[in-house]
Amino acid sequence: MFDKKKRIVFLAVLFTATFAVMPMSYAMHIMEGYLSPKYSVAWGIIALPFILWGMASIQKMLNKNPKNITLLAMSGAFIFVISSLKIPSVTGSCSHMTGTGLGAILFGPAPVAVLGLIVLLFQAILLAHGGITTLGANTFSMAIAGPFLSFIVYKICKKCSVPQKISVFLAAFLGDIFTYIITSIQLAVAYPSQNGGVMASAMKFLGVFAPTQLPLAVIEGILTVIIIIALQTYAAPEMNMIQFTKEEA
Amino acid sequence: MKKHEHIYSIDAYAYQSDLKKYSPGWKLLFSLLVLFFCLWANHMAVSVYIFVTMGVINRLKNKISWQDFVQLLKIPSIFIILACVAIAFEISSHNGTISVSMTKESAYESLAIMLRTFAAVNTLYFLALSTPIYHIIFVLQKIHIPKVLTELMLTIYRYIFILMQTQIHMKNAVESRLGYVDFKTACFSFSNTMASLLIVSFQKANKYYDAMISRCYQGELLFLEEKSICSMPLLIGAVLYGISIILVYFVFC
Repeated sequence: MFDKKKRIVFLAVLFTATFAVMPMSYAMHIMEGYLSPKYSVAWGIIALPFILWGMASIQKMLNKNPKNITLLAMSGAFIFVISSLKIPSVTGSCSHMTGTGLGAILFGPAPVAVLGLIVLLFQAILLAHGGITTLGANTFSMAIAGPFLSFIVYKICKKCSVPQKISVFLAAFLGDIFTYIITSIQLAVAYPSQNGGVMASAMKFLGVFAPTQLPLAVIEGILTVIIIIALQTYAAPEMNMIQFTKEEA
Repeated sequence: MKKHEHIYSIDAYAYQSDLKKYSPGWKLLFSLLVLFFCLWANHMAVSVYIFVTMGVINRLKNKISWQDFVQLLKIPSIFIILACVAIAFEISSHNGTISVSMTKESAYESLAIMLRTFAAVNTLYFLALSTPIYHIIFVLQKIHIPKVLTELMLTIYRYIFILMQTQIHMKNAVESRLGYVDFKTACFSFSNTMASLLIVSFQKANKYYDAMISRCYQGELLFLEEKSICSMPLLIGAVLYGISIILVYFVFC
């Protein structure tokens, strides 16, 4: 009994220490060195076809109108900036948006896959979030899986004529949640639990990251809605410009 | 180093590093080889050795201050600690009671992964702190990564700093008008700043394209590549370092 108590106290202290001392929480980037080589390579190969598809779609956009290069680059820089900023949070710890849900709604999933890859590489080198060997895994979860789901959810909501605010919120929120689930699965596949296999391990990772990721997803959803409203109010011509690019993609 | 400035810091360190003038291709190859050996070996002694030596190189050659070094190591720590806690503990349920347990093996495994990750992160810092992004993109161009990708990288890299600067001005303006006074206001201020940042960035994109076209831009940005040195002593040093890692592996394995 005493041992158990001690363990609980230890756990509690550990958790408080983790959340109180660490001011940063980019928790869902898989850090450099966390995945063993075979998983790093495997996730890279899985991400590759999507990247090629995205590159083809970008090339098509450029062939149609070379002016799109600066627009695309600005979008990439915007995704980088938005994901590197602290967002307001209730608990006092700082968290960051992924920005890819917004990107998928605005630009479509194919270009976002490529922009996301570049942004993740820059985040690894300039901000030390993520890494080079884990680039494939991170690209798959953050630049491919999340944005794709966001885009699909947004399209479905639009078809079913759900109010736009709600569809934007759902797209950003579910995109975030999906990224978080995919990352947990990636971690679980790399480190399956000894007596429960991949599923049990996935549950553990989901549980461990839930306190940081669930509130973040809600906040990201709300912020994305406000951003979209503001854009529609103040930037009709610019919105047409991306609407244009979105149809291309 | 202030936290919100660390993007500037890593970039700034890369430009003032002693190792900047050496061939970026070799540096990239060297760090990738060390990284993959570190991952493949997955051995505590190797990890600790790489962590310490890379730390020393970063301190002496990349001239990073101790405070900044600690700050940099703090960035990945939350992920590493959380993810390693998940590996260390086993959760099992028997007849409705959930028990959390930790075995010797799982604790050992999670410690090994923790050390390995820190070693790998330090190796990444070696690359990031010694090689400006431009040089890395030049290497990517040389190994024939599609031009669309490198072109986008070059332009995105330039725009990041422009947008960052704009964002800082906007944030100061909002903050001086009590825009971040409470949570609800902060949410609105933040989102509106982001929306206007996007609008500004699109307007700038148009202007930059005109500027580029008027300077004969034809789908390719050409930069003068600085001459990089390939010094023999450094190459020998790198090879010796590689051999020393392998020796550490065989001694402790």
